[in-house]
Amino acid sequence: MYLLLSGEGPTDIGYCNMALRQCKGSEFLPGPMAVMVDKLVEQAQGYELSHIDSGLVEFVSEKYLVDGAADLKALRKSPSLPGVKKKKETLYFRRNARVLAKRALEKSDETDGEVIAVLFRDSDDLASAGRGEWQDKWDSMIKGFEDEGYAHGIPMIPKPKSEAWLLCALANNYQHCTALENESGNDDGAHPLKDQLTAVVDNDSAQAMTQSVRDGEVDVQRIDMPSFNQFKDHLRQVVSLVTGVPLS
Amino acid sequence: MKISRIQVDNFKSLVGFELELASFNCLVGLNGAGKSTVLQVLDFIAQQFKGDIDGWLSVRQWMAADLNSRLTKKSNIELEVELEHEGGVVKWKASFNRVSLRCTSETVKWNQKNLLKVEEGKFTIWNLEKPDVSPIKVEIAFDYQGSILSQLKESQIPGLFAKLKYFFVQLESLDLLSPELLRTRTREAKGQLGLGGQNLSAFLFELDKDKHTSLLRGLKKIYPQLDTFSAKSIRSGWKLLSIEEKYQDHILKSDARHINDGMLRMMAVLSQFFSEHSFLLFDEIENGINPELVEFLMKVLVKSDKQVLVTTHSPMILNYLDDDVAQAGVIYLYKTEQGYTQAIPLFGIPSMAEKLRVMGPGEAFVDTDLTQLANEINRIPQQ
Repeated sequence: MYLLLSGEGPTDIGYCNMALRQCKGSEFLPGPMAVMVDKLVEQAQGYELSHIDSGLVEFVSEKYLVDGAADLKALRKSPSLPGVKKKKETLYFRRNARVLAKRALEKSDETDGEVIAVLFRDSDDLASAGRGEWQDKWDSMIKGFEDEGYAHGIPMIPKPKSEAWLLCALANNYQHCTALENESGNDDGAHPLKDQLTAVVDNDSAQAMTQSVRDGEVDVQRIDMPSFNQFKDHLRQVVSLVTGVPLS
Repeated sequence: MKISRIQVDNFKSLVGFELELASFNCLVGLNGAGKSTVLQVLDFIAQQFKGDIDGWLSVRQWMAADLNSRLTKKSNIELEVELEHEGGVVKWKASFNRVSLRCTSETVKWNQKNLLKVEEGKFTIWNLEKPDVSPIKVEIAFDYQGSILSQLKESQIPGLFAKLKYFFVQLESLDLLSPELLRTRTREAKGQLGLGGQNLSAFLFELDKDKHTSLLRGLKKIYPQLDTFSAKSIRSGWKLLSIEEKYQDHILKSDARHINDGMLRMMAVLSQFFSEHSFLLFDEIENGINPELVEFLMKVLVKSDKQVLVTTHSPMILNYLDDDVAQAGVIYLYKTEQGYTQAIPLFGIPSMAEKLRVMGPGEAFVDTDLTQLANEINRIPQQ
């Protein structure tokens, strides 16, 4: 089994050495969210094996997805229109997911094995600026994976952003974390999540946060908030589907 | 000559309003955001150079009291237009008085140098070719409406004024195009289709042979069954528009009353590209036009050597714009909490710029919750 990851940058999924758009194995420098994925997969598959440490991981950058999605723009005559089945502020996620799914299917052919793809986006990402419903964004990523006939895609969409998941562990001691989802994701607003994180840790760099997840200071098994739980449950189902290990 | 920027204060919902224009421009926004008002103010500015503000008000069935904003207590309407011309900038600035229907103060500058000034009942003209000669200052001893340039003869004014005046005289606003009016028989058009398109039959009658042939060629591309159209003079000088369509061996002749709305609109819109107009304005350009024709129509609009401004609610219209045209020319209009109309390049808004990377302009537009877009706009730091 292979992991294919994509996110927004070093503070979430991570990035490639030498600023590459695509990399694998040790060229990939994981961020805290990638280590979360790795740990949850490890737990779900039922045996000790870190895909990251074993080099069974490929990363594609946001730019890789956006450039890939540009091909879908060419279909000027049949634009994707919102309606009852397609909500507003979701097409960006759907197209990103579609490109990732394409890469996952290619990778699956290349490695002749199963590939699990995780697409990380803050729910208040740049393209929606906080507009739209979280669930609609989740659904649109699933639809994007389905557009390519790919069933092993996992949306990873913290609400409103990844700092909320980290704060659940580091500030709330895993208690009452749902409230964090209602905080503003705006870094320029009052009491931003970023500042809250800086206030509770000595070092909030991407590297330090990644280490916190590795060390278990941020315990992925204990984070309990709706956006995280939905991601975790879906990941466990996909791993179970791929490995045949029943859900515990 | 091309308008690069307008600034308007105190015209309906346009208070402290500023708009930058490209060659092709498309206004989008929610109902009531002020799209039609922007078309109206451009037509109003053009009318300053034609005079007869009374006539302009009467065609629109407006009173002078309808012109200014009910949101402020100001009386005069302040207008400012910058135009690019041969690598330089012409700037016309005026203060329109609603009682006298005249620009009571007015300036024209060429690359920031004074060319014309109207104030306190006198006008002054500078001759830039002879900077040593004192400007001519003349008492205004006649009544007029709009800009003084509407009254001055070309022989009285330097070439640049004539060009400026001609530009605005040739600005045609078709913001009230209606199928019923397009079917109207008229006697003469003098190169103007009229606000609602009522002069179509006479306008087509007045086209010379080459233009008639070119227009027919364009129409045949989108209506292959169209054989010809003609505008004929009937008794008392009325002009009658008719078309002939070919179906196998049959020729079907229909006069204007029986031509379908979409074809009439297409004729009206396309015919304007064979006019002398400098700047064309169309409200809700997609009306009555079937989606199959949108690609053709957008090519004509974007490639035209005339400056064009349209309004639309249609994602199809936007989706046929290339990204660079959309970035330069799609303008989002919205209202502030005070009710003032504001303009911003749609794809200059960070989230919209990001969407444009993976979606067509039309897709990005309809994927966006416009009722909440102002929240993001308000967070954009002022330059």
